[in-house]
Amino acid sequence: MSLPEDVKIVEKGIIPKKFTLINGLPDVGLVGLVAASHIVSSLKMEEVGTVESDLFPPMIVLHDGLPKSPIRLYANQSLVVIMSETAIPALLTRSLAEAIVNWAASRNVELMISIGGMAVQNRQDLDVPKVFAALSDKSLEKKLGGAAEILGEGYIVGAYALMLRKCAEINLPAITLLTQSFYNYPDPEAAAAAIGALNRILGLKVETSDLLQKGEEIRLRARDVMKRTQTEMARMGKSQEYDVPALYG
Amino acid sequence: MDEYFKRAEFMVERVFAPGWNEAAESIEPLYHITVGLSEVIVTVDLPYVNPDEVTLKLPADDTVEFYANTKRRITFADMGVTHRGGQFKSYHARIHMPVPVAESGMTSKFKRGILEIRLPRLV
Repeated sequence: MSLPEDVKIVEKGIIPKKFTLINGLPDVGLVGLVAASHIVSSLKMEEVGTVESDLFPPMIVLHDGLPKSPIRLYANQSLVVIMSETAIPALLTRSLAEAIVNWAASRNVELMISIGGMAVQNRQDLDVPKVFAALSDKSLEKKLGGAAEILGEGYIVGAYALMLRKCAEINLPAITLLTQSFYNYPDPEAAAAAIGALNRILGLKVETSDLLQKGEEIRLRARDVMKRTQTEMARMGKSQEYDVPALYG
Repeated sequence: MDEYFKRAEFMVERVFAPGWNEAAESIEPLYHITVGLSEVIVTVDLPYVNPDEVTLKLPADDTVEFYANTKRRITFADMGVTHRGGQFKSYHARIHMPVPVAESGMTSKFKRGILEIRLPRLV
């Protein structure tokens, strides 16, 4: 059983009073991580917090010579982005999901959007990957505005699954965007498609041309994180997302 | 039993090896194996590679080896890592197949930077 205090959000900067929370955790195709990282740098967001746990591997990541927590929060006037530069240990999935949702609820977040990938076997043949959405409530279809196709039936495995269900239980509006992607290769094209959907939903203007131009560089740099994420995805039984649900409704 | 230990050793190496071989100036790429009823499909992620730079070999019926030159030399410094001095000019991997496969009838395609190899099963 996980305890909420296993994982905690530590605020270090100014959190906007009203905001949309975007989650970009390492997952299928690293779509969320690549998209979140690009959003943070494009919008020049400020680092405002970290996600901490004694149960995480003892590590820091160095950027510009300074030590940083691998899981960080960034913010501007209306958005907060949570992203992780390291694979999330499968055993901590539930604790992390609860901590993020509890924190978001305590901050009266207006909307939570989680960005991830949906593994498809024919991804190599898709010129433009499609974006699908799972909603915490049907009323969010209007907010979606046709930016993504509703995911009617299927399985979602991992932190986003737990977050979406908890958000539905506590009436916190949440959308999980899943873009067709490679299962275990970093997919910048899918991340760009996800950002396109996000731009439509939130009225953002995040350009993705340079993300696509840097595609090969991103795939190489993200190689090690993808490898570790593969291991954790296997541990949590991620392949069940390929299954067809047995029952109706 | 030997086969079991060989497989276990392979899995440990695959999971924990860093994959940046500075001595050989090569990178072990990400790859995935799918075993079907009549064929094995291997996909390999190969950023910075032109399709005509890929060489495929089957040194044994349970092993696929491939080698691909990169378009340019890649260094750790390119990725902002300055405390390691490695540079890389190729990808290389020797992949153990879960079932025996045949070289004749092998097909491959390279699209979106991903190499897909299809190998007929022997058994």
